[in-house]
Amino acid sequence: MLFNSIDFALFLPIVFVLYWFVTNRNLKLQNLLIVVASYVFYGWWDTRFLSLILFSTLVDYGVGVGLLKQESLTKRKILLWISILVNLGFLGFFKYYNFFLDNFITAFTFFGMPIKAGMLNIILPVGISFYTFQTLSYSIDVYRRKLEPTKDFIAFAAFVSFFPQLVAGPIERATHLLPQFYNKRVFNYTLAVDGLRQILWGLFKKIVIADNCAEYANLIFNHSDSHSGSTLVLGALFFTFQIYGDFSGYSDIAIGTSRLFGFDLMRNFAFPYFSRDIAEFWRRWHISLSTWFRDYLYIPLGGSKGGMQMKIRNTFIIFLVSGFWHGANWTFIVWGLLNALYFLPLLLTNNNRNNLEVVALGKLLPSGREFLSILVTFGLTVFAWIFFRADNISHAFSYIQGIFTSSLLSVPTVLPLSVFGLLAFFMTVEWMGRGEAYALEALGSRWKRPLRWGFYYVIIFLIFFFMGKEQEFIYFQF
Amino acid sequence: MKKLIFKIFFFCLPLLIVVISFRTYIIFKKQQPEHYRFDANIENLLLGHSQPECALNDSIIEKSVNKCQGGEAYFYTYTKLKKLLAVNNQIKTVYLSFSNNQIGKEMDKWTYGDIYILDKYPAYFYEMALQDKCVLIKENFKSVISAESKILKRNLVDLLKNKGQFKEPLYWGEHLPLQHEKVDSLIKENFIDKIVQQNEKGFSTINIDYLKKIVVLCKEEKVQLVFFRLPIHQLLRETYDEKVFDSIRRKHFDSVLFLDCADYTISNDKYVDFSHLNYKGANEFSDFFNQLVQNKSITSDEVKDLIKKRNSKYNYEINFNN
Repeated sequence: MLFNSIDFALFLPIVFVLYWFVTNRNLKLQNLLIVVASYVFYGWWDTRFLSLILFSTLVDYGVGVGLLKQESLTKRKILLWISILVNLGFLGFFKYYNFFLDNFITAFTFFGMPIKAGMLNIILPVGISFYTFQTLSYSIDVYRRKLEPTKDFIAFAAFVSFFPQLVAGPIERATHLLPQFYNKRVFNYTLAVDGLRQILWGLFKKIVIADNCAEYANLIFNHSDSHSGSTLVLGALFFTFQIYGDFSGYSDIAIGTSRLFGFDLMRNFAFPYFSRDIAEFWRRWHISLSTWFRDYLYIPLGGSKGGMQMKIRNTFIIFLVSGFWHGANWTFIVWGLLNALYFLPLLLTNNNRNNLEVVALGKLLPSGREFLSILVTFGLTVFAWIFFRADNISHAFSYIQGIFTSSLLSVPTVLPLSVFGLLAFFMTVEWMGRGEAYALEALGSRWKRPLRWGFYYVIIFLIFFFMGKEQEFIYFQF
Repeated sequence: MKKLIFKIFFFCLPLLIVVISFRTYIIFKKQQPEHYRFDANIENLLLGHSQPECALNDSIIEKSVNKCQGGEAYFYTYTKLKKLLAVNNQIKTVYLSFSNNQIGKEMDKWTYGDIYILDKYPAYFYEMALQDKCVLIKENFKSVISAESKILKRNLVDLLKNKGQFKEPLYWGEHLPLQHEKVDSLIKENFIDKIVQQNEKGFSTINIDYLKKIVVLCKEEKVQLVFFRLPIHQLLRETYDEKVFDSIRRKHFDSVLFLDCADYTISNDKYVDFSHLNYKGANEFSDFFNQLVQNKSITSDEVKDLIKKRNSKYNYEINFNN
């Protein structure tokens, strides 16, 4: 079920009441309720998906228990590889089978040896890219002895299937989330209110920003050959805000919902569009995925140790794999490659660890230099998003070609002033709250209740007024 | 925990008050009789779905007004009729479409399907009785909530656009003349097979129940209720089970006069598709229908005879011209 649906609006209070009023005296019962609620939540899409997540849970639980008993390095490695193969096998089959087959056929045909093979009609289980990585983090951390494996199957199943973050992250580390299931959660009023506030902002980002930008992004991208260059630029901009509103909005709702149940999830977005360089952007965008790749791929490959050549190689591998993780299409790979190319100059000049603090913190506006850096980084990001959004490589190139024509200087044919107004409001609020975990976090402590509630009512009014153009969360397709 | 629940309650309270007040205001404004009043000379009310919406040109049928609307199940017609009769005491006769598809299972979807609730509920909610709303809520709660939200939003936009006035016209149906002539191309495509495949088996209990309510309502309001069936293309007619249709009519509605014009022959160029007449067919048929409407003592058998005579003449003319 979608977070912005009536189903979820009914589901959440029911689970909340059961959690805090019925099961709160017993830890096992609390965890069991999480499992049941999460399976109901996930099965709402398609009950067939439940068998996959259950199987993945059983395999990784078994691997954990096995690793607890095994001291032999060889046997430990075998157990780890079982987990890796099962999880990546699921991912590979459901997500990439047809892509590989199609490219295989194309390659053989290119070399004059056409082959026939049937594509399978495979449904991509929602969230598979997220929970497989989450369970893999458990197996790997247990193997590395960074985490004690659990014998509590219910706690483990709750960790794997935890509904707020099951289908689109944040991808939680077992070392961070699993221990939270070992202790009974105690209701915290401040956390719960903060959670509600974050849910509200997440809904605003999704319903008001993302869904409204999506309408125009789709209009322009789906008919890109008939729009002027300036309109195509707007299309790329609309998509830029669509994907941010969509994904960070979902993360906000996930984190906020978790807080209602006494859980702390990791931050997934840290105002990435205010980044001053690409390295900073990647420290602020989809943080759970980029840190996952850093810890489980980049560092095992050697990371930053070794010479520049190794650093460059590892960086490119990470970006390409990250692109490929997003979907079975060459456009995602090109998007990853583009970001790697953006990153390369910073890496070569050892400037990839600048800008670690929040831009212009404590100041109202950035400096001229900061503003220019933000603009350039933003422009590069927007350009890369064209590949992310395009249907295929040739669509992406024809889109870019369409931009760089004389019509780039013409007035765009698509000019939704209301959406521009919303974006201006949105980015202003984001800018004012850039020093916090999410834009509205400081509202609780800085503003008096009448002003605060008035602002919430404005947000609710905007959500109500601008809803109705419902679009699915983009990251569900990954 | 109590503190949170109280806070949520007190936070939502002003919102609820605003929403309920606004909704009440909408209902009050939309219920004003002037929106539903017909001219004093209007005595006949034509109701039904898209078939009579297209086929009956009320500028040709004397002293009549066409308030038919596409996709309308009897559930919504009942609410409409209650209001129109309450405001227009001069109505003497209600002509209600009664066709084969209106007893079919598809009418369940027309009553509480997502698209139909989203379309019809905002038009009729302020006149709908609570028990009727409960029927919809029980069958499709989510769509009712979506429709309620649509009502608030649409009316808010209307108010903001028109400086505090509700200017959006109330759409409860009217004659809809269509231009298309697609029967020949549909025949070439074998479209009738598609229709047969899509037809659901069974009956719509809810549609029949609300038709019974309409019969009772007309008795209470002392207006004559007359059923009518419009011309249907022969190819479509052959897919219907006439025995079943007739048995349901006789079982539940035998006391209601039935003007069955299904056999009225019309050329393909006057049809939009197999069941809807275009403006040419509508003008021709409305002229015929006017004769039936003006003859208050006409019987079902007399209608059949009239149609037989008219068809003989029509077929003779076709043959003669060929």
